[in-house]
Amino acid sequence: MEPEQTAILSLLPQRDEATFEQLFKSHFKRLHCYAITILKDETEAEEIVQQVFYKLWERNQLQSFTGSLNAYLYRAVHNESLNFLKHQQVRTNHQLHVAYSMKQQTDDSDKKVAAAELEKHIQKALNELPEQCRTIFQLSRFDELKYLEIADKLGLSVKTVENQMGKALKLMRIKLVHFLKFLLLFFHL
Amino acid sequence: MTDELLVKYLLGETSDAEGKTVQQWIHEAEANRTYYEQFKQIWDASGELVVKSAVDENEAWKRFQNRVANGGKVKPAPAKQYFLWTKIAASILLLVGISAVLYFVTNRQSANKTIIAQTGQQVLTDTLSDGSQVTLNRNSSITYQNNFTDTIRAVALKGEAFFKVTPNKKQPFVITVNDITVRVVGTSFNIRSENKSTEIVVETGVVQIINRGKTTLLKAGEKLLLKAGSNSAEKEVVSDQLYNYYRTHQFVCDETPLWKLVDVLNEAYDSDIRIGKDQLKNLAITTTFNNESLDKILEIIHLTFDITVSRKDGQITLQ
Repeated sequence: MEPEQTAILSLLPQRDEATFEQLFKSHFKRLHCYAITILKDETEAEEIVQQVFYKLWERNQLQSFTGSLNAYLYRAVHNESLNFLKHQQVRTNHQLHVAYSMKQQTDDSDKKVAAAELEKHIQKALNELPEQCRTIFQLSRFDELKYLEIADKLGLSVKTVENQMGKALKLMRIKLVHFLKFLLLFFHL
Repeated sequence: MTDELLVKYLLGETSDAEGKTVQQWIHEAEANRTYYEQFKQIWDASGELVVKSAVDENEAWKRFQNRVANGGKVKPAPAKQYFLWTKIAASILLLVGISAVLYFVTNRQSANKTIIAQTGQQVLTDTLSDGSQVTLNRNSSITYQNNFTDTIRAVALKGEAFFKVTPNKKQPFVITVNDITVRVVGTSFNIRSENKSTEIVVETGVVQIINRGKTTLLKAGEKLLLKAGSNSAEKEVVSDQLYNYYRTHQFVCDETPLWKLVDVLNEAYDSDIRIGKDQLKNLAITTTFNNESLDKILEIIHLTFDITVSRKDGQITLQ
């Protein structure tokens, strides 16, 4: 665990607002982006992040809180976002969003349509990854962090990050391979 | 070769020795290269999904403090002096809201979804929930609701499609295409949109077309061409059934000028046929090509008009 995070954790039980504010502000954007990539909705994404921080603020069992705070925050945002998708039927909105972007795309060339279709498939495959895999992929792909930085952030070994990244692409490849073959065919036409 | 090492290489995380091993493996066999390329494709394409947060963390922090002050509840917007009628309106809205929720809950079984049917290289025939049939030409799409629960049956169209609408006077079938609204109760017709111009051909029944606030009624055997930014809506009598080729697999020409047939053939076969001489352009053809190959059709054109068909670099010239 990073020394900085240990310090934050030990201060949390006293509800030190200044420390919590610093923690909130330094993590907000990245967690918000994470929730947006899952939910495709900025407002709902902020609500999820706010709730996660609120729960952390309200937690009474902080003394027993072990492991990386970052890992906890990412895991919580991931799980809450997926729960939200499941229960609040945001799926309808999500589909509308996809419908809308697809509609926009039909104006363009076939290749753009195919690219949009690929994006849609990737989005789905991403949301189906296990939590740790998904979080590590998020940090690597979207936050452009190196393996070592991810390992530090989440309190993991570099080897674990390496394995999880391999697993992420392996799982996505299995889900997308048929579509990729079709695309390849398509682009060669 | 492990997936972990391949991904590590893809992300530039490998040591020199590891990198060499991976490179060697990739060059060993075509299948290896394809495998690696698939990882790369997924990685590259997923980059498109990156999002930025436009929310200011300081503002978000203020909202968080509000939440804490309210015991976890999101504080409602500051109360204002509402007039009585706004309160009544609010109550009505609430009632409507509750009814809507109840309605959706009770209808959960038939949850309504937005459906997009889209074609690439193939023509597609789709039957909607009301029994209406839609044949989508290539590179076209329609968007509609799984169940038509609205007062109208709404469909958005891009490209070209033939509609055979199941009659229902109480729930008109309404298509939006290029800012134009086409309203019918039960009829069959073809709509083609291309570069913001829209052509509607009616096969049976009557079709109502609303363009820039102006309504035109189109009857069977008539067609209308609407151009973007123009108010003109000239009805024409349909002379041939060529527009129908993608649905019927027939090219029906009735005194059809050669240039028009060539246009349709180019679209249908992705070919590049050109007419070499201007005087050939308006040669009239009356015949039906029934699901024939392009070669066969060109052969018939050659024999009928004594036109030479020459091919060069994928281009076909008639002269």
